[in-house]
Amino acid sequence: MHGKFLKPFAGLVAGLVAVLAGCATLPDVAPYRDATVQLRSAVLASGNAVGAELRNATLAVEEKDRANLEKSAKTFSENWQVRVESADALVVYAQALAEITKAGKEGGDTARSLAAALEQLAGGVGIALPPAGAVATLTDTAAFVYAQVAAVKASRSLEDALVAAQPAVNEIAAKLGKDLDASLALVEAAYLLQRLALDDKYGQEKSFLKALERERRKLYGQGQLSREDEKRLKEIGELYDSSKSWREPMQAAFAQLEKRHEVEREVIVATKAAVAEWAAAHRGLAFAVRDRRTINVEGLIQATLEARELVRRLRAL
Amino acid sequence: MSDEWEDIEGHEQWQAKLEELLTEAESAARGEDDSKRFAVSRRLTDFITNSWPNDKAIKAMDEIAKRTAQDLLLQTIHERVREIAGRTAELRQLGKEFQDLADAASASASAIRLEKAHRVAKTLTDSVHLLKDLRASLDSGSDASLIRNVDKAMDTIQKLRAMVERES
Repeated sequence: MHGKFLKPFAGLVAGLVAVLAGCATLPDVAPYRDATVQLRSAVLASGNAVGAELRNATLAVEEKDRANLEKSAKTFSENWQVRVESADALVVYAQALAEITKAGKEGGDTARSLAAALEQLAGGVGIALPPAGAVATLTDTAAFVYAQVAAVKASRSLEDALVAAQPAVNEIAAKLGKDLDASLALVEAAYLLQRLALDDKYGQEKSFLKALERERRKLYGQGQLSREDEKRLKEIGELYDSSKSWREPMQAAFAQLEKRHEVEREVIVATKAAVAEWAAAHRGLAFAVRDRRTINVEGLIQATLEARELVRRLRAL
Repeated sequence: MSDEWEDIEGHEQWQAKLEELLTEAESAARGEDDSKRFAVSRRLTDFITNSWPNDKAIKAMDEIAKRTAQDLLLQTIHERVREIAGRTAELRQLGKEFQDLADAASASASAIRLEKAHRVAKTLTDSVHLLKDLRASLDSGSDASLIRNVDKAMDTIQKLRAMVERES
């Protein structure tokens, strides 16, 4: 590297290193960025689940209510798309934070790369360079100094970015939290509409089974059983067994609806928890940069992993 | 079977139970607590499942219970969708805000990576090579003035390079 490049630094090296060393610890933002990507997936999956259930519910209501419900389902999906786009912006933002940290940690490489570019230029315009060994020493020194400078710059930029974003982080977390609460209500209402339709569809069958159950309990409830009672209990058992061909598909239909509803509900609850953890982790990140300490995003990682697992289960249904 | 339905016998009692549920449904519909609406909807559904015997009068009651539960659930859906739609403009704005914050953070990262200095160094190096090629192609007699200008340009580039070093 040409000597001029180092002149401004030469006298400062010892002092700068003493001042800068240890005061520019950069937190690892990559886990936060990765968790933000997972959060985006959970927001998308929550919206998809609600949209799908609302569409399913349209098949469970009477003709006169169907058009309005279809309209609400469409309105929901269109509006949820804006939530997904907002989550996309969160991912881009988290990626940019990670870029600052990366740039701060790679200051030495940056300086070496620039030195190489300037050496090439020096050769081009015919400037005589110092001997190779001296260039290497100067480059190493400059790289070392710039590594410290870059870390300090990155630390400040990161702190500025985090502080500037915190109000927006709080606001988006609060709004997404409310949206997810409303989504829980939507998925519950859509589920109950479908259950109501199933109850209606299998009304006769359920009444029949209930009648058998009532009679059986009445017989057992009266104490001593007569021969007639025993005979009737046997008949009840046979009637119950003979219902298997329609009872099992009916029970399967209810079980499938219950299972899907349970997982969808869990996905939305987990997404809401992940959003809250994400906002808390952002605050923690800002404090960590300010106080020059490491950050703990374990809570966020756990919350997003849980949401991811539930999304996987939901897709598998 | 829950206790609520255990001791109900005959049309009158089922009718009374339905009226009790309809009053609760009306109250829940006027309020904004979704959990109350869902609770009464579930009980209306349970009413349909448990009402007995399955004769014409009971079926008529079941139909009223079903209609009421359905109306309550549909009302909730329409209200919650409207609520979500009401926040969309603010969320869109927040999304843009995060995009701006991301742009600013990326610009900081770019500055730390000395990207501008790298770009200037690369552009200058490319220019030098082009000027050298040009100079080599010129005739020293007829193009003397141009050669002087090319040399001047090379000199300017050298000064620029020194500036890049200082500013980096």
